[in-house]
Amino acid sequence: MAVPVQDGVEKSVVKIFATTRYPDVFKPWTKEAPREISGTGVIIDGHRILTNAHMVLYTSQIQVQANGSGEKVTATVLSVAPGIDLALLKVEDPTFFDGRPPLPRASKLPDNKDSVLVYGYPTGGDNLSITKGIVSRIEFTTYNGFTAGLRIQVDAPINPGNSGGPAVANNEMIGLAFSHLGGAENIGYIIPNEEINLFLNSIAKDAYQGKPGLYDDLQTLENPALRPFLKIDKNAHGIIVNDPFYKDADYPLKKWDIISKIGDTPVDDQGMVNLGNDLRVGFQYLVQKDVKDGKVPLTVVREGKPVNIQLPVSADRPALLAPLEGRYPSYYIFGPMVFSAATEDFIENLSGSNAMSFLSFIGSPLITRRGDKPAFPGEQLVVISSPFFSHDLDLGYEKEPVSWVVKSVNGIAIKNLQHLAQVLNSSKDEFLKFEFAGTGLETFVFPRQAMKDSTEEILNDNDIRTQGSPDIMAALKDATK
Amino acid sequence: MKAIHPSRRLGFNLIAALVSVLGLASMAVAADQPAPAADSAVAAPADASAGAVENSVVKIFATFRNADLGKPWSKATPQEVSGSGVVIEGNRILTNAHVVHYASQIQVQAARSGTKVSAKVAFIATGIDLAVLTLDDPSFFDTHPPLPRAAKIPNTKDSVLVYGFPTGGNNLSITKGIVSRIEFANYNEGTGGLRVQIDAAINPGNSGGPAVVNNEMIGLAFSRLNNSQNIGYIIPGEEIELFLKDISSGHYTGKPAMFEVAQTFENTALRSFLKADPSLHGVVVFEPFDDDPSYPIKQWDIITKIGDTAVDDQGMVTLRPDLRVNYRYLVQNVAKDGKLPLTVVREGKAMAVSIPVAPKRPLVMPYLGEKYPSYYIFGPMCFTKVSQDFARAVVGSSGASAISWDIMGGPLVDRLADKPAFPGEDLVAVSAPFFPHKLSIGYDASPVGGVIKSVNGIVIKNLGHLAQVLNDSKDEYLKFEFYGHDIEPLVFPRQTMKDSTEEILSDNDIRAQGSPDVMTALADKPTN
Repeated sequence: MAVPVQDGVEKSVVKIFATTRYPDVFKPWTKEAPREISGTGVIIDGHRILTNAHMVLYTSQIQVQANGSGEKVTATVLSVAPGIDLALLKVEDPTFFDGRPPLPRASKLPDNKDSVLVYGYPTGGDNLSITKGIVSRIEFTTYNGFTAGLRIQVDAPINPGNSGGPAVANNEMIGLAFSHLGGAENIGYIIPNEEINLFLNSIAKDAYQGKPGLYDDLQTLENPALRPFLKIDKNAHGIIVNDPFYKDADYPLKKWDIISKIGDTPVDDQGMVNLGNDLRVGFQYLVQKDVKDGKVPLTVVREGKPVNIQLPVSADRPALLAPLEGRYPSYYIFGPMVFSAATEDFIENLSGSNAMSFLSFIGSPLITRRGDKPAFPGEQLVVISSPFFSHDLDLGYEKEPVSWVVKSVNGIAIKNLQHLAQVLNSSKDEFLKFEFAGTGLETFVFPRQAMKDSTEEILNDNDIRTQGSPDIMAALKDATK
Repeated sequence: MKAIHPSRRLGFNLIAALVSVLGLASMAVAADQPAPAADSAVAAPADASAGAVENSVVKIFATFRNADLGKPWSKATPQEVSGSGVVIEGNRILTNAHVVHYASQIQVQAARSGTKVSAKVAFIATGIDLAVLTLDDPSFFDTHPPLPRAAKIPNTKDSVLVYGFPTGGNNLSITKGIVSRIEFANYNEGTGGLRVQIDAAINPGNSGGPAVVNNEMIGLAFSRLNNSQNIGYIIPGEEIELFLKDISSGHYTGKPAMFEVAQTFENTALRSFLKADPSLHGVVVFEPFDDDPSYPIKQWDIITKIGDTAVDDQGMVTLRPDLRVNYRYLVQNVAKDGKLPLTVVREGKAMAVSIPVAPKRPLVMPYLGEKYPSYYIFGPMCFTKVSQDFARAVVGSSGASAISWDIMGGPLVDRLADKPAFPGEDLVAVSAPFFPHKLSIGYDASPVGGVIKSVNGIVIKNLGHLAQVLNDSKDEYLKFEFYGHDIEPLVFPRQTMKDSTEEILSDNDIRAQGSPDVMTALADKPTN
């Protein structure tokens, strides 16, 4: 064994038990049945336990068990970062940490081929398991949603349950195991310390802010025809801005700008920067290094001339269909219909190719606007999330209008779920006419009062405790005051 | 940031053993083999010399268009594939044949660079799965030196690093393991070769990347066993050297091989039948490649030695305590000037013989290799020269349990392993269902796989011959007869059939009536 195993590492690893209840996007008034999951965590400074966000998202009960101990201790979530998949736990009883020191973290990235041990509690047994491999590659890549970060690939086996456990080189932690590539051999992924430190620094002052990112659409400068077209010669290198994220005049990036440098680092024609030590990564990686007061200095080539700009970068990537990331979906029930605010999770759950080709065929905004920003503050797409509840009212209408996006009610364009609930409740018209976005979808007309009056009976018949999610119910209550 | 397209095609075409004569012998790793220093490759810091490996590894992007066996007049839809390669001496890049097979566009990118450089296939050996590329811009090699190759086969348990560009990311990836076993195995198209098995992770996209021991390349990753853990395969340096030596002549000839079919000499009844005493070891030839009386090997000969190396009763030769391989491995080491010296025991007497060894098994249905299929269209029918690929596709598509009667007993099955019966013999088959036309009304709409026996009684020798017969005929009708049990003969009015050809080509968007080889032959011999 090239790397003698120090007892200390084992002492800092804990097994995590959690009970999760994931959202059911097609029945937003309830949660999925509870499930038990287990994973791994590591003790860090400040009597804290670091693990993956996906270990604690949607959990209602978390327990940790130290290595070698026979006792489970209750833990609570201090902070969670779903994008970069990190979470911090605290344990009520500080004596838990007696004899269990924090695991030191290496101050720099490992090199390719460095020997790595992965500690954790994967499937295949109950005790602590240790696997060994080397660092295979290091890249800057997308984690969850729009969050990007540095990622280490190792060839040590990583299996379900390893999540949140430390990867160790020379008795120092180099990162946290969080994923592996399914269907491939020994392609395991580690969140490196750099991302962990950014997360810990961010929550030191405040609630977690997220990572600043760059959301413009880019295109490589590889095709030779692009050079004469952009009036640049062979020596110019960089990546083309194909679609700036913001179109306003004061946004410093324009279409056809070539980003040639970030800070002082040149960007190559595939948008990568070469940082030495075999570290060639997407230039977006340098955003987290070079950001200052929310801005990143870039050099762009515009109309053949270099221009220095300060690009605002933020952790907030406004999205019309935001991911749930630990929240439960908002909903509102009116008569036999269930409305919900569309999310990325809703579309992912629709997945099946039939559903997708149907949505494409009708030109649903769920497809055409999937990557969009909201067109105005507070915009949501409001979808029907479930088939009609059984009731005489919906006789003759399409039984399962699931995923239809509400365009208007009695001609009033619907802005978001709360707006819909308000319109439904404040209407004085005899009928409610629902129109849907896309071609070829039926229009539903209901007698307003009868529809409203049927709600209680339907909730009761279907064992539904509340007519809407807390956010919607609170807003309606405020509005009536 | 646009994603670089991921590797979509695996080369993991572990070919089913052709005629595996010898049973699998389990092989114990000799206990006296000194254990290599643990972790030697990894304990070494990433120093300058280790960095050189990275500099010699390239990612390969190829756009390939497979042959479409059923529609030989067109190619399959282009697909993107990515793999790995390694810089070798002479400003060349070595990779797997299956990474660049049927490629119409190839680009390479160095591990640390952001530029793709156009490449061309200089030589390709689909059997042993190797190919050599050259670059349009040789200045690439100024900064990317060749990777040195180890002079000998590694030992089992040697520590190995595999470099390449597999799935799971875009950058160069390195995985680590040990040499698990070394064997002589079947590659593609009946080609045998030495093969190293390792337990370093190999994934789609690793194909063509180097396996490295102590900063020297020991071989090229090319395959893995599916549904198992960490059984990866490497083409060892010895096979690479043979290939490079072969192409130094300017074209690739192929590996010499012997094609006798032999069986193990383990059964005691077989031994007493052949009056062999217990000290006699070897394998028994039950089918010599040639039954000509002058051919030096006869049925029931016992091959006891290849050159000076003794063959055991399972047909294995022991070259090193940890290296026991099939005797066919020795052909490439012992054969000289196309001849292989053997010792056989015939009727109890040992005798030295010398047999011819050829680089390619002559087959009446040859492998396509890197070629597209030959075809000829006449009226509503499309004829093709039968390749191993075509025959196996037809036989395979009918399913092992339900091989149809027309194929059973037909030449696609019967003659799969045969030599041509006379020089220039091809089998000619119908490759596609009839093109829609009133001429074919009432006939079985899809005589695909039917092998043409004769036209108006003239026995068809090959595709060129068929085209000639069709064009030369002056008869009123053309009568096609087929081999096999159950395929109906087809009769067409000759002139109408011929005249319908242009209209059918146009209606089906087909550019040429035949493949270039057939069309050139017809043009050379104009119809009278």
